[in-house]
Amino acid sequence: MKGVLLIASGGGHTGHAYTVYQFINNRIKADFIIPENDPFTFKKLEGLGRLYPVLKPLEPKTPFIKAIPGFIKAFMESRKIPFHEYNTIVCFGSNHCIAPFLMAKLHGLIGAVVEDVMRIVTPSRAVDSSPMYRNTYSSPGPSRKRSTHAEYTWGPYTKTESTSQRTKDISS
Amino acid sequence: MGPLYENRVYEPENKGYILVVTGTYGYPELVETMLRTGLDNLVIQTGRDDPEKYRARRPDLTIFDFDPDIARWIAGADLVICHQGRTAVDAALTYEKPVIIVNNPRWTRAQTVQDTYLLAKKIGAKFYLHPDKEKLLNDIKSVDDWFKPHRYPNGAKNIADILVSISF
Repeated sequence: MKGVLLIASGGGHTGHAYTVYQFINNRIKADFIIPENDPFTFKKLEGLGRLYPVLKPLEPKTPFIKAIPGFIKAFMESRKIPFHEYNTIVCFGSNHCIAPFLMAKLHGLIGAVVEDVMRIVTPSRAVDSSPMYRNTYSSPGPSRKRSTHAEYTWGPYTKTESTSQRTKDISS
Repeated sequence: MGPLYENRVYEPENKGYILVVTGTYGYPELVETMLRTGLDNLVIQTGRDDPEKYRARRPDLTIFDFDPDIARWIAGADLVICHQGRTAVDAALTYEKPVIIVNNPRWTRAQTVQDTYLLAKKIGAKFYLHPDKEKLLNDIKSVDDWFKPHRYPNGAKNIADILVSISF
């Protein structure tokens, strides 16, 4: 039996990963991918499982253009993760997930995406624009589209209604 | 599936303090507003906003940057005041605490105001667009009138069960 890799991307994303870890409750091996230079995430998860540091290319104030070298570095660091020890990778809606998630998919892992619980009318940009999520987010539950896409997606927001329609509903 | 919130690791108690949580990046305007209330029962988490400058002004308060065991503080709080973030969900659903969410406009890439407003409604929290001292004092005073715990099945348990089942 192989384990699960939870991508704890800092702040609330780490909280989500920790929460799922709590309920896995040692039934299977669970380890974490964490952002480099994030002592808060490190302290929160230290001792729970193996921690694989991978650069988070885009911090809240980082212009996208400056993040490109970061994404390249993140892909290089993700190559060092022993994906063969895992069956599933779970990301929690941050740009930090993109590199390790795609590398994991190339190694044949099952992909799962859990959107932020606070995203009710708008998806996060990472979830909305990344190739691995595209076309899958509208159908919660198992789905298989392309090798780079997630097989499982969960979250309060779905694309079954347009954002503008939902926004209209709320304001009326 | 249900919302994701942490499993309870402490029994909730009301230890007499108000917990102010500003997340990883901090929310100086909220901290400043809370200090201006003059309340002496505040516990403040500042994140990457240096806590020393606040400690120098209010040495009587408990002020720290980060605690990996923030659940302990949440479990003991009478009320939790925070920005739009996970703490709001864990405080309201895991520990059934009254919560005030104060929108942090610096989070331009985070969830929208509408997302936050809707979430606040779902978890029974108060929602503020900006820190407002007078309004905060009123809501702190009248917390017993407006607070009613909201309960949902935990989506994290369902997700964990699926992850375990597909690993065999």
